[in-house]
Amino acid sequence: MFFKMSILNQRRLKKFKANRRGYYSMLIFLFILIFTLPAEFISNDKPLFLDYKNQLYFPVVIDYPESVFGGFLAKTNYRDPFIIEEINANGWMIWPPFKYSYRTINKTPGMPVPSPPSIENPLGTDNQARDVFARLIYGFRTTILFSLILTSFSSIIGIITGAVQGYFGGLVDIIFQRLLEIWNGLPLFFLLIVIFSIINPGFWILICVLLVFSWAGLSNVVRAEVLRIRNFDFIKAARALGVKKHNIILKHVLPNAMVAAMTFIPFTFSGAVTMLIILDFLGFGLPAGSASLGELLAQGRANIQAPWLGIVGFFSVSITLVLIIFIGEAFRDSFDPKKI
Amino acid sequence: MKDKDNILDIEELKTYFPIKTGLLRKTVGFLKAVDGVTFSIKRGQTFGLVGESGCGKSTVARTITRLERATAGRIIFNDLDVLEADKEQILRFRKKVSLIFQDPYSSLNPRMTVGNIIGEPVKTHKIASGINLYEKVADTLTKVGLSPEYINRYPHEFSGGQRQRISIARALALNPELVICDEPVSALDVSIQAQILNLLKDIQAEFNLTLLFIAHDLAVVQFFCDVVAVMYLGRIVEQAESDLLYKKPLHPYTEALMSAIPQIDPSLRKKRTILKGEVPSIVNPPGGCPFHPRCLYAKEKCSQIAPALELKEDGHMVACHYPLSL
Repeated sequence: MFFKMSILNQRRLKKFKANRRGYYSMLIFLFILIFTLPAEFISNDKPLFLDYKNQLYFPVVIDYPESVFGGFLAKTNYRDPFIIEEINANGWMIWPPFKYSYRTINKTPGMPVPSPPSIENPLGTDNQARDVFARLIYGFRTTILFSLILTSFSSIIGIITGAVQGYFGGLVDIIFQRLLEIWNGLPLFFLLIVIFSIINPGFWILICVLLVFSWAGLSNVVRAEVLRIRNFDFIKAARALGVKKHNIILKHVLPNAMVAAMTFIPFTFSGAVTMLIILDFLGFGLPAGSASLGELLAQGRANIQAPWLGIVGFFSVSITLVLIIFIGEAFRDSFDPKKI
Repeated sequence: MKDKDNILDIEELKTYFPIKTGLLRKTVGFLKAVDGVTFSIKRGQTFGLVGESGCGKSTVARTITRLERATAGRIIFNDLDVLEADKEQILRFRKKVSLIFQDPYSSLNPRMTVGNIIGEPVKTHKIASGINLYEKVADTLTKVGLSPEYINRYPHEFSGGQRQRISIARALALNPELVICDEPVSALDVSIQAQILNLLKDIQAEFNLTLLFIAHDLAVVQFFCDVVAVMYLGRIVEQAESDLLYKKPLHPYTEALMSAIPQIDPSLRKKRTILKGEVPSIVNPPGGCPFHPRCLYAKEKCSQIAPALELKEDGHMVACHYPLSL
């Protein structure tokens, strides 16, 4: 009963598929996402697994000390020619398709930094001799996961606060609305820059701080929708039948307000992507050394003589955003009852 | 003077809505939607409440079910003073009194299946669960003339008449004693109206229900109700047994309403009484009898003293200084 899609949702899916641009954007986006989610297994400086003296090792999952293979470091460096020789002499290794992690430094002697694309580094290296392709894969994954987490949390907060304002109305609504107006009036970017120059944000701190500012938009949409819905007779009917307040909000008000929220969420998502890229570009985002699209753009600007950095940065960011916007548009239109 | 036969007694019920303006939300006046309404409903009776739109009929219904806060007055249901009751008593009261709405489109949640819509009150009052709940819902659906197969369908798959049947099923799911029907047929086709009215009649007989039937269509009320009260500007102006009221209206307003009922037989057609003017503003009701500016028979006294609802004969009550045909 719950797995059978309602007729309404079937029609929405059909409408979404009928929007070819959005549908194919979705397919491409999903393909890239599936390709980049297991980034450690696609592009890494460790073998996927190796056989050494008739024993299997899984370096991607488990860190082995180098003493296992006859070395002396606490962590094995599988790119060390000595280790490679030792393992190949006593067994075999299977590498991921690309032999660089996002922080692997290409130590080829005499190579200029940044170096242009080559067979070894398909998109070249950046100014610290790190592989751009590997950084792209990891950076895309970080950006998407970051935005997904931020969007989900800010949607949850936005929907709850919107529902509370709309359902209770009156004084609660008035106070909330004035607070929101003040909140929305704050100059977001300056505040973020000030905050992030005081604290050094990690992934989660960055999400928390951005969360504080990003829920308000959805809150207003849901509030307006709830104000409309709470005057419907089925809400009165539920109250007259003695249904409890939280059940009315959860079962009657929210499912109906969700349509408006759903059409808003893809754009919150693209907003989160842009926000992270901008902060990284300005150097206020994720900690130094982490893979990010914004940092790639910043490197492209700093190294005009190495155009592959800027070109890769530009295209990766613009393609990501364009795909998300196209998907969001198709999503919104498929929920719009007035469009056929 | 509590009559044992009465299931519901309304005494001097007043529901005022404050009118607020300005920055500080100062109350500048009151909209007197219900302004001193008194009536009683006997067990098993069908009580009709009629009047034009905006006269406060629906507000009476919503005040009785505590969807609106009453300003003053008393509502006695069985032995429970509804306006003074605590949470638990109210929950038990809600189990015994249910509401049917006018618009079959907005009164059903479009995102719930028929089974969930009808099952929700049953679950809320912990009457049944699991397979018993399913049986209860299927049983209720059969009673209102719908197939239990519809249990997993959504409201938008039904026609207006079917939706109203679902609404009735939801109201019946708790085996209530009193069902308040707030214009249950005015949004339906005439052919469907008859079906729904007959269904309500059958169900009333089967479950020994008491109905408070609110309508603006006098023809429907005549067919359906035992006792009829006519409301004007938040007050009851006339109340009598249905036949008596239709044969011999005492209040000029009732007479005007009666003359507006379309007659199929030309020989039965009477001269229409056309009222002058508009319904006065309910925020600033006229002094004296609220009906006097539009009344064809108004005299000087009418504009000065408001008439009280008085018992005339055979349980016929009227609020008029100069009742017709007396």
